[in-house]
Amino acid sequence: MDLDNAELKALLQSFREGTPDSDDPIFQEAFAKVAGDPHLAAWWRAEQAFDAVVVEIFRTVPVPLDVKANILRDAQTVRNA
Amino acid sequence: MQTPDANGNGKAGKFGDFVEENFASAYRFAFCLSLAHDRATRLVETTFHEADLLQKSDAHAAVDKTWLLEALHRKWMACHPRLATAEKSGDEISINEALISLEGIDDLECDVVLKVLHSMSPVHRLLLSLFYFEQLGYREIARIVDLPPETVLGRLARSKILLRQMLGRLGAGPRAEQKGSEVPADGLG
Repeated sequence: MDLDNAELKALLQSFREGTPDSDDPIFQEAFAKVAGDPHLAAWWRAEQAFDAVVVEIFRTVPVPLDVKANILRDAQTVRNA
Repeated sequence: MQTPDANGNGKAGKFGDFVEENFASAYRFAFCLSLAHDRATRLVETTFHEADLLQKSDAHAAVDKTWLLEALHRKWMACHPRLATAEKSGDEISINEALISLEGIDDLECDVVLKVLHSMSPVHRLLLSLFYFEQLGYREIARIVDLPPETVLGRLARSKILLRQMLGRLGAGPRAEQKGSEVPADGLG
C-alpha cells in the first residue's frame, strides 16, 4: 500500500476502534505510518477526539422506552395467544 | 418468561433479550434515517416484529444487530425509492471549503449536531449514523448498505469532512478555520 497523506487520512477517517477494523492489514499499515510521523499522529489524535465527542452526543438522543415495552408486550401477547 | 414492566424492562426469552440488547441502537438509527420519532417508532416496531417472526419460524436464523440494521435500512429505502438511486450513485459532494478547527469540540451541543445531520443528504446521514450511532467498521457498514467496502471507505471520509464543514458554517462548537487554500480540492488533506 503506497498512500499519500491525503489518502492515508481518508482511510483512517473510516477506522472504527473495537471492530474487526483493528485487525485489518490496511489499517495496521496506516497506523505504522502515523506512528512515524508526528504531524499525522497529532492529526489522528484530533480526529479521534472529534469522533469521541460526536459519539457521546449521539448517545444522548432520547429513546422512548414505551416503544420498547410495546414491542415486548406485543411479542408476549402473540406467544400467549 | 417475564412480562416487561412499564419501561420495557424484563425478559421475554430469546426475543426479549434481543430487544433489550438492540432497541436503543435500532431506534436511534431509525430516527437518524427518518428524522421523526413517529416514523422511527413505526420502523422499529415493524422490524422487531419481523425479527420475532423470523426467530419463531427458524430457530437458527441469523437475527443479530447487523440483520436488524439491514432490515431497518431496507424498510426505510422501500418507503423512499428515489433515495436508493442517490445512494448507489454516491451523491458526490464538492469539498473545497476550509475544514473546521477541532478546537472547542467539547462545546458541541446535541441539538446542533443533530440539526446538521438532519440537513445532510440521506446518503451521508446513513453512513454517519452507522459510524457514530452504531460504531460499526466500514466492512459492516458496507454489508448493511450493500456497497463495496472500498466505496464505503471513500464516502465515509467525505461524509465526516462534510459534517465538520457544516458544523463550522453554523459557527457552533468548533471555530471555522480560514485555511481554504491549504485544503486540497478533494478535501482530504
